[in-house]
Amino acid sequence: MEEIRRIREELSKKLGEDLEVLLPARRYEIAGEISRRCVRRREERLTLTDVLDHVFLHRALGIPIFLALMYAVFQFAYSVSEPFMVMLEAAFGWLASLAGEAETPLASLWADGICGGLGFVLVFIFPIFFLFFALAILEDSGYLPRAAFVMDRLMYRLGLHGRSFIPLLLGFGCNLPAIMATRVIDDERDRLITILVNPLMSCSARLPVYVLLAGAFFGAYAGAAIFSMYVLGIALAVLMALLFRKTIPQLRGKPAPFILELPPYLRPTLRSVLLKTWQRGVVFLKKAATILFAGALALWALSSFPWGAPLEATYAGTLGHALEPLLRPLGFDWMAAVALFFGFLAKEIVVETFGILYGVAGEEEIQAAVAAHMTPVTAFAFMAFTLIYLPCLATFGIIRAETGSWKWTLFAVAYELALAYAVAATIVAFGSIVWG
Amino acid sequence: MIRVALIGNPNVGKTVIFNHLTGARQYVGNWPGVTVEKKVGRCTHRGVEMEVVDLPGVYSLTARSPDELIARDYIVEEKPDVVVDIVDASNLERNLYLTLLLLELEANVVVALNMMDVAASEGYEVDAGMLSKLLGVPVVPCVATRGEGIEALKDAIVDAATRKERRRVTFGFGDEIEDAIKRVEAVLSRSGSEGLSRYPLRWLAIKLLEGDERVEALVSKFV
Amino acid sequence: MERRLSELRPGERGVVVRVVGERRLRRRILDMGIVSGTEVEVVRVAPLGDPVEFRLKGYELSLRRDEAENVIVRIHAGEGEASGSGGEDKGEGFGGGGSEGGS
Repeated sequence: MEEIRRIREELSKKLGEDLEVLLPARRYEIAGEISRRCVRRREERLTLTDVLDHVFLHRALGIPIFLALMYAVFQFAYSVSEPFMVMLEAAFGWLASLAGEAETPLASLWADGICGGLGFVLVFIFPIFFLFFALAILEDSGYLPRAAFVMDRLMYRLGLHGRSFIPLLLGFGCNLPAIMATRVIDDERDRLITILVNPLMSCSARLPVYVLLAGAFFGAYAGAAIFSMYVLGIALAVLMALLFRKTIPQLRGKPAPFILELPPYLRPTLRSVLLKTWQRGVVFLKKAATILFAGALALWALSSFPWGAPLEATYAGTLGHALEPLLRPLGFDWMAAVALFFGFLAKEIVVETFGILYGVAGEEEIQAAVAAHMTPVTAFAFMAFTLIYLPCLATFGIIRAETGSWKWTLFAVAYELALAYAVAATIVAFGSIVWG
Repeated sequence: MIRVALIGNPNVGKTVIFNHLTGARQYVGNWPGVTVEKKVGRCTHRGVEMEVVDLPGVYSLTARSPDELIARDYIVEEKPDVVVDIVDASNLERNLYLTLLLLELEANVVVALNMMDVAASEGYEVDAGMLSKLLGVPVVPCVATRGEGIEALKDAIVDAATRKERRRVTFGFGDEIEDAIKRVEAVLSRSGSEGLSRYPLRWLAIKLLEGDERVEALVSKFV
Repeated sequence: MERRLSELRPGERGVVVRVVGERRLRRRILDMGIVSGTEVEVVRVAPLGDPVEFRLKGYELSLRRDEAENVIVRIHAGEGEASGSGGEDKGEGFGGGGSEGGS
């Protein structure tokens, strides 16, 4: 071995350069020679890629175009899926009504547990699939490296990588596939940070909670209140990313090198786009939907039994009362506590839980009931708490799967709970100072 | 049954070809390195059963990143019967870098010269025959998105696997370097170790001269 | 005149002289084709000022400025070629010692 090292050093001295540097150069010379003998450039053509990049990567237009594209993607996903969601809800409503008044446990199981639960869960398939569809088109077209190129400087300053952008963006749809998408990030630390802050990207499951509360309390400003949750999530994600990068030993160091190829734009094929949409949608169905459905059933069971007991005396109610002392400082009562507990199973369930707890159904009725139990400040704090407090069960599972470590998964839960509490408390404190 | 590995730069249509060969359903992504999972599929052609492994898209085999590590280890340790190197015809020079590395590894290479349509639309004419002659390995032109060339590729794979004697293709790096390579090879042979004999001698020598840490660690055990 | 690749502006071109820097990064840069003798052209800069898009060997590659800093290039003198700077002997390049594969 020593002899080999000597040979190596001798050679380096003779050639004036390490072989580690020289050999790639020699190989490229050979590759270049071969290439020159095999390839003829018939003409110098302006390619579609050149033209498109002139627009998409334009110094001034690049970012606005990118933001517009992202907006279009989300708009598309949500507006196109709406009619489907309405139809599905109606269908399940009809199915549920087949059980009549749901007087018996069995009838209730059918109407509230199964139909209610399934209907609730399946409805979200639509925006998710359409979101994946739009993203697959972007992906196949070759635009995504451009997105990373445009956003990298910002990401880099935030201790992240240009490639982190897409997974974080996907988090606005659903954190589960978003965390799966972090596989594109080469560097383990970059990837881990992206996974840890991903749940702060306000996923579509939280939206019903915002809509419910904002609608009940903020009237004309409901839209602004909801938007502020998204902004809050992003701001916290940035903060946490920077914090983790600076403080956690395993995560220290600069983000991985950029060195990104910008391949030619290609026309997406329908077959490939549908394939991708299907594959990702299926993951969501398998992992999330089954857990969500199980969660909905669990909710039904815990809140229906002991059968015939008043709400406070059900298992759910007992649970809520147990948790209440912890959440009282935030202005949350035991019903809010129960709702949050079930929110661990799936954030969408929070709304349904409120309905069951208040004994009412229908958006407006629930809103009215909530309005009687909370103040605007508490409601806003609740929205923030829902945003932050922990990843839903399905996301919890995927974090464990993708990081391969219980340590990081539990860390994610712990820091989020702490952060949620801190933020909600701040909101409540601020609110009481300003409004008394 | 023969074992076939698919390798190539990111964005060259490797997954499309994998799907065509195996009929399996997988991601087709423009984004490099979509997953580090091993995708395996089956294919039968002219009575020959093939197991096809889709290796991660890589630019090189220095084994400094997990993708490269996986790809290189698979080829070196598992010794697949055929390695299909998928090359982007519109970007030949850079793609050939990986091809040359594969030839150094003494893999049984079949080149799938893909994206011929993109090359044409960019104004390039690529001579597959000349490429085959210069590289010393079979080269099959393809347009994977249209399914063109896939049958010919399957033929080439089966031929390459069943061919009895294999041409060893070597590209020279210049007298001084070749000299040093020979000397290192001599040192390695002298050690007469069983453990090293499963690796291509020239490749070991080249890697040692390059200062490749993994190969150094490996060789230190025997020399 | 030798400059760092990160200093070049869109439209400017340079020939790589050598690549320095941390081992891992340097290796990756080399693997992508940025080796001695390669001509690199600056295509554009990202809207936020970083990274930068380059064209080399017929394809487009983007690098951050702090990565491109590791690449030393010799720029083409615009008016009149710099004398005697051409023809660095890069060696045999093709088929020096080993046998060339052929059918």
